[in-house]
Amino acid sequence: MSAELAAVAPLLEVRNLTKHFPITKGALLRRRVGTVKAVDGVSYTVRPGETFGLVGESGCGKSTTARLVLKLMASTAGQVIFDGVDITHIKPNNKALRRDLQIVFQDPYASLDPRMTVRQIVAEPMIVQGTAPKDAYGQVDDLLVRCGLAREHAARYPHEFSGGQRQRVGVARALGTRPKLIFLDEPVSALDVSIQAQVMNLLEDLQDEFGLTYVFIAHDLSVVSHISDRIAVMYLGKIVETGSRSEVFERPEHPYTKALLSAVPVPDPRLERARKKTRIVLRGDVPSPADPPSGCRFRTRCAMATDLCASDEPLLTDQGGGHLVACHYPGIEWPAASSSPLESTSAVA
Amino acid sequence: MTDRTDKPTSSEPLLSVRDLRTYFHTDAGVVKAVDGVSFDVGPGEVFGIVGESGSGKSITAMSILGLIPRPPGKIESGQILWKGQDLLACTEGQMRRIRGGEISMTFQDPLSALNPVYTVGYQIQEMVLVHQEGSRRSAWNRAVEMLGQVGIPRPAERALDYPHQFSGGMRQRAMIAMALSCTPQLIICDEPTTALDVTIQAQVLEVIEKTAADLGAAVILITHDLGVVAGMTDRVAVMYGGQIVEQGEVDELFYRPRMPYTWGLLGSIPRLDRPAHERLKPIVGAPPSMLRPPAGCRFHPRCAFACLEACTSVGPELMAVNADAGHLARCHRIVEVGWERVFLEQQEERLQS
Repeated sequence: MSAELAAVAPLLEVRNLTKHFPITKGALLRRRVGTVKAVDGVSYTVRPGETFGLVGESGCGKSTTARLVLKLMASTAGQVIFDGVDITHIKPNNKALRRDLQIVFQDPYASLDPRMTVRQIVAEPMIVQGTAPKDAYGQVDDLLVRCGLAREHAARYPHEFSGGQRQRVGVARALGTRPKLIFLDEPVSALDVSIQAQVMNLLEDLQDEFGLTYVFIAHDLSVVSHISDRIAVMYLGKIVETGSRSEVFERPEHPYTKALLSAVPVPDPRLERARKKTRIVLRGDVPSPADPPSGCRFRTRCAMATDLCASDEPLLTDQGGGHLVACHYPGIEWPAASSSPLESTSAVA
Repeated sequence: MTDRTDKPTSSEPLLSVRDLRTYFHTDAGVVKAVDGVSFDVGPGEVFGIVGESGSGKSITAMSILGLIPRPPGKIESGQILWKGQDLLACTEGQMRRIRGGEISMTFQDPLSALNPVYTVGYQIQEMVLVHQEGSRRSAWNRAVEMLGQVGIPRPAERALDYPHQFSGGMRQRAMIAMALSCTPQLIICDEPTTALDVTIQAQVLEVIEKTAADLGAAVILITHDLGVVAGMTDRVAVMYGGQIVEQGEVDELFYRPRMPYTWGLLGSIPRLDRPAHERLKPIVGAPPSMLRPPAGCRFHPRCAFACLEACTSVGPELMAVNADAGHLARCHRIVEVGWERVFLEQQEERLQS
């Protein structure tokens, strides 16, 4: 299967994408005193028709990655190839880019203009792309219905909608230009539990109907696991493990992925009580991206770290079948009962 | 961590909330945020309250501690019995002794709950001084000890830090340290991990569980995350539209849910232990506005089984479905039709779709 899929040209190819934010001091001269390495050499490919999940904790650079690809932010280095065309140095206002690549934002309250009606909001990208306003407005009804809203919603303003409905408006807006790829940046994390499933099902239906490709960004592993075909796990600006959903989530090889998966609570009391007994509880917090650890960035929270981890940075290497892991000791097991944060501190003190 | 199956359940309740009604009188009308909530919490027990935003779970907690802003809020009726004493009849002076000393609370957003202009150590010290005899020095030592207990590294140094110098997970732990510093018998944790990443969530939950167990304190855990509830609690109440719609021992509630909302919730969440792309079964519609809650059963506009006359006109009572497991559910059909029938209908519907 992997050979067959690999033969298909990727829709999106991101190579060594990097974003460094300068830390400046002083109001006038703005001396540069440091660098926040928000995204530091991220590479991945997205195949047509699939959902590529980008998962990681807050501050790991997953949203920045999306903004760099979409040119909402200038990258420091790296290359982005979309549909066979190198778009690294393309202008941000390039119309074809905006037509083919769309985004749905996390916060449905902040991403819709409160002074525009839903009809104007959904039609705007189409009008920018050159559709006659009359035609664009005509298409709004159909888009809204496909996204689970009613025709009469077109005349209303965003404040008249609930969070889930607003997110549907955001999806309808993204669909209007018939994009090839949509970045979904935490599309359900602001929604109530009972509403999340509605939006997730809608996204899956639309993917089948329009043949869409998704890059799905989220911190909730259960959500990413549900919707993704392939997954990349990010930590401190780097991808630490990537591969098919089953490889990464069912046979994780990086200690961080293992810890992340073991930390997710499962809504099944007996299973969850059993999981808690073997849960890997990481010590400490994520280090600052302004001053990342040498070598492997995860080593400060990894119980198995050696001198090699502190001196040499592990590179993403193929463990077979397109399952890439950035660890000197891929597949290494956490020691049993590793690391209660409570016990670890008494050891430090 | 601790095995909770062999715990005695028939002991005298520590806290007993009886038919609590907390309303907010706004310009737009009366919001019945909590509308007839009753539950008991036993000593050392972990009691979970689950619900979506606006279901009334935080208002219930704030009512217990007398933290409802008034106006616009008002506790209209009910009783909150703390070891037999009605907290609603207490003077503010009595309440102040109980609040923090016997019952304490942690909040969802620790950055706004901690005072930014005092050090973390000072804030815990102040709490200890209010509730316990002793010198400032011994109170400071207690603050450092508590910070160490919740896993803050180098607690003696970090006690001198201000809240903004702590990370999100550390702030939440500092708040837990403060809540536990006067050895309360009950600690109410309101969405303790909602703002945190999953690896930090695991740390914080472990801290709550371990420190509460060490003190023998009971915990009311308020959350929207069914996974957290499944692993942490002994008993659970599910809230919807200001009411408890289902309540029981955690296993009973998860494996034999009887109220369609609980079913819906369990069926609609993506789970790590399930195959990818498995179709989710969402609950249709959206939670009700508490300004104008639906007549009859508050869940009926979203309920797949609401076909009885009574569903749309008469609010169902919370009724026992399995007395042994303390299992209560608020649904007409469960009682009139029997849950087996409703369950079969759901299975048939699933097969057809």
